[in-house]
Amino acid sequence: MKSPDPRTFLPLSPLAFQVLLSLADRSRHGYAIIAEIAERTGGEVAVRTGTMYLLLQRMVANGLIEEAASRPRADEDDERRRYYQPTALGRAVSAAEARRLETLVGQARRKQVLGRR
Amino acid sequence: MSIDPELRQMRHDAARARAGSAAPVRAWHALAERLDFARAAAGERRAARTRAPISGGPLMLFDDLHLAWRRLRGKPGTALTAVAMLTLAIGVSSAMFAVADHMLFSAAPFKDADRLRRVFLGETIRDSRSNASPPLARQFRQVPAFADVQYLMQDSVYLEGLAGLASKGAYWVSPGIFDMLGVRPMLGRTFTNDEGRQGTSDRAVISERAWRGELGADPNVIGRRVTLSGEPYTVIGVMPSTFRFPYESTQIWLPYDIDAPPAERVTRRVDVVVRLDADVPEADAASLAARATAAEVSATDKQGVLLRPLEAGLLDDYSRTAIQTLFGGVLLVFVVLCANAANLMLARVTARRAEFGVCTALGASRRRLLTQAVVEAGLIGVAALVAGTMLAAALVAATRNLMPEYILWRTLNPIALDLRALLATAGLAVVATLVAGVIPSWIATGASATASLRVESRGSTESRGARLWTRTLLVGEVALATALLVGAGVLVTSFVRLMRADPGLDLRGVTMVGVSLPSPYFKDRPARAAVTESIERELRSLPGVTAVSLSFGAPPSGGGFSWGHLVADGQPLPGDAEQIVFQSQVGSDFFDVYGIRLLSGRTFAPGEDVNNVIVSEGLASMLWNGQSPLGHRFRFADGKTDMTVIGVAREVRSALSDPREDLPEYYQPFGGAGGSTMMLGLRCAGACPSEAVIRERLRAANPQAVPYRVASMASLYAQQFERPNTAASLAAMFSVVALIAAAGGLFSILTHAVGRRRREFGVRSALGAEPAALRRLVLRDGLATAAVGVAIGAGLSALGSKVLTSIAFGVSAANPAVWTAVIATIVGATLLASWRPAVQAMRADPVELLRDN
Repeated sequence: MKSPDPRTFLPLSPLAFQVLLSLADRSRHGYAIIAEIAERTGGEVAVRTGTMYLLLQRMVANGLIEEAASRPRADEDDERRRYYQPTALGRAVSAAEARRLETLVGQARRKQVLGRR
Repeated sequence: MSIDPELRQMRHDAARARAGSAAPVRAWHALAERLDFARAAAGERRAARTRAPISGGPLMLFDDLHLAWRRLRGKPGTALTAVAMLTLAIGVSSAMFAVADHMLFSAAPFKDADRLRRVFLGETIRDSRSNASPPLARQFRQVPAFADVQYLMQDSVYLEGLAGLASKGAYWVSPGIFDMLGVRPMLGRTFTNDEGRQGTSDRAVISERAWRGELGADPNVIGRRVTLSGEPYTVIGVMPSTFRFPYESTQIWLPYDIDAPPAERVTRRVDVVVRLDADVPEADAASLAARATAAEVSATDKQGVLLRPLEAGLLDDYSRTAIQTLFGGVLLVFVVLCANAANLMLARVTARRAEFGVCTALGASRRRLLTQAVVEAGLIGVAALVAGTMLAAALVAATRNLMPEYILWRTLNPIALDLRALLATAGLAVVATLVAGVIPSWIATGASATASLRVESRGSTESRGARLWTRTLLVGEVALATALLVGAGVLVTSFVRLMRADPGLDLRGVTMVGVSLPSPYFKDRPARAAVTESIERELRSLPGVTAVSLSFGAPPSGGGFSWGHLVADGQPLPGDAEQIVFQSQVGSDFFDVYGIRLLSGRTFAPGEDVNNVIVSEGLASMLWNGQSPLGHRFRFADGKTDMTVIGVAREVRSALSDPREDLPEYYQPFGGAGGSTMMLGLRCAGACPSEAVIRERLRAANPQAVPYRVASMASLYAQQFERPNTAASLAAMFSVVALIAAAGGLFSILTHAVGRRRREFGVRSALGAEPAALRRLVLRDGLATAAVGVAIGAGLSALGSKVLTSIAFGVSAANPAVWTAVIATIVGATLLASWRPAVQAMRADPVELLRDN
């Protein structure tokens, strides 16, 4: 199957972007993603489990993330957990979204929305 | 229902992680999590359903129904509003359909009504005769194309009842006519074939109305002797009030045998009703009939046979046009309400686009999603159908009670919510459901999974397709509301003008009493003169009565009319049109009593020459075109003596609402009491005595004198206002419903749009847009929609203006005042509907908005 153009996903929902960011360095299970996002954003972005669950399903459906084949050591694991990792498309989409945001911030700078430096 | 273990695990992880935090916070988190968990669990269940393979079958439908019910219950506000709107749409249109159908379209309520025909003699209907000489009429039985031939002959009789004499419409009918029509009496029997000859014609079938009214619903009425115009008859049957034949006013049927009629009816002409043979085409039947009867055509008959269906509707042009126009108006309201419901449903399903996207991503086909949406719309449709039918039944019942009786009697069909109306209701419901439910679902389920993710995350406006559809519906609603408002405006303005129109006489403090002295009871002129004098004396002595004028003929339509070619001063009027002129015979005090001003000349003196007349303004200008008519002479071309004009009176407007029916009039001197019909005008100081008091006094004067009309002049004229009043009120009601619906639609759509564009407004505001500018943005959005709608509505009204003008009184659909009012109303409603959304946009706080998400 030909993978779709990442740009068709832009702008990405902030939460989906956060999930992709969270999975950028390693595969995580659902609650680990929530915890990582909360930690990284200093508690600004607090996601509920149900929301995350639906979001993950949607992102899997869209081919942005997939279930990871590799699992951690058995003593840390619970068989009911599913571990996710970004797909190639997911990585491309998160990169494209990051670039888009960068451009946007650049524009805001030039308009001095963020104040004079 | 099991929950995906992963979700359960995620929740478990979360609970464990929270175990360290403080108790109240923990409790709060736990609650919030539980709610969220429940939502996700429901989502999981839903997804499980949509993922099910497309197999169809009853179980699936049950699932769909269950799901649809849960969804509707989950967001009952929109669903209930949609049901309410569709209910209103279906109910009002069905009720109007029932009325219009019974008044205009339905066949007469008889057996094989589509094969029943009235026979007319002549080549064209314009100059045809409706009745035939008996030999010719008998000959129709030889026509093979006619399966049945029956005869009837009009009459009118005085029925002696509980409250004295009452004039009743009667028909002599051949005994087989009841079988031909397929009707049965509610009591007793109808005529047998040996009735209607000399010696057996003293039987009568009476209507339920006469039985309940004049005969006091006598349980032993069958076999009872009644007196009709002084002759004894035996009641043998009572027909239910739903049987109206050949006219709604017919209440007595008497037997008539065309082969052996009683001596007094041997030569009377008869109407012929036939049933066509099913196998012979109608055109052939008419020519067969003409050929078979040619030998019997007498000097008084006409060549040629025309067959016309028995029409149920007996409406005049005004009512016919008015009912059609109002029916059209109702259909417009129907469309507006459906469009509104469609918009609501569209907003509702648009909000679920993300869900549809996920379902699609998870493998649900569009057909599957559509099926679900259709089931949901179907539930709303069924609810609206049930409620709409009840509403229609209530409205039809109300119509029966509220409509002026003389309109209700103008159809052979009693108005009811019958099968046809119910079928129409069901049809309307299907259309409404399709428009309001299925089309929005089609648009919303078209979302691709990716698009739905994107749109939801950004909170921008809805998809292009949805927006286009929404705006189109709104523009349509405004356009139809405009057209309805123009219609209502024209009819209301017309009604106001009608109320203010000068009838040409004084309506206050005058009551008209029309009295008949039936010849069976009052044999000769001196007898009638004596009774008349005593009646006049009685009325004069009533309290409050200051003057009584005895005449033959009274406003608004005189006593009789003359027609023909007019000859003024020996010169025939140009053109060959025949003129119809009302004529009355009046005394010297007539003009004072009725308040008709004499413009020039004088009133009649006692013993006035019978050829001296007073003409109305209209007749004067028709004959002498502006010159003073005093001393001039005129006559009808076939009249022998000239009439000399001695005075000119104000034109009495006989039919205010329709100038075509308004005829000029002239007055001749009253020849003195002794006629069998007379009118007494009572001029009263203040209010006139009530109808009951007057009738009581008349009965006291002579129980056999029949007061066929006792009415104040004001109420006689008010009757003319009733139809325009009904039309104007209904039109106003329809347009108000449409306006409210359109404004409500505008309001909800703008609110919706502003809600979706909050981020945009926040950004705009952050970038320095003035709040007022934001408000302008939204208001302009609303006004632009309204402006396009008004423009299209103007086009629509132009299309309908001809019909509208024909039932309006001196107002055209292009009336600037009406248009100013309509545009002002629409602009006002638009501003009202846009104001709150606009203020919401203005209040968009950039900080809060940017923090969202």
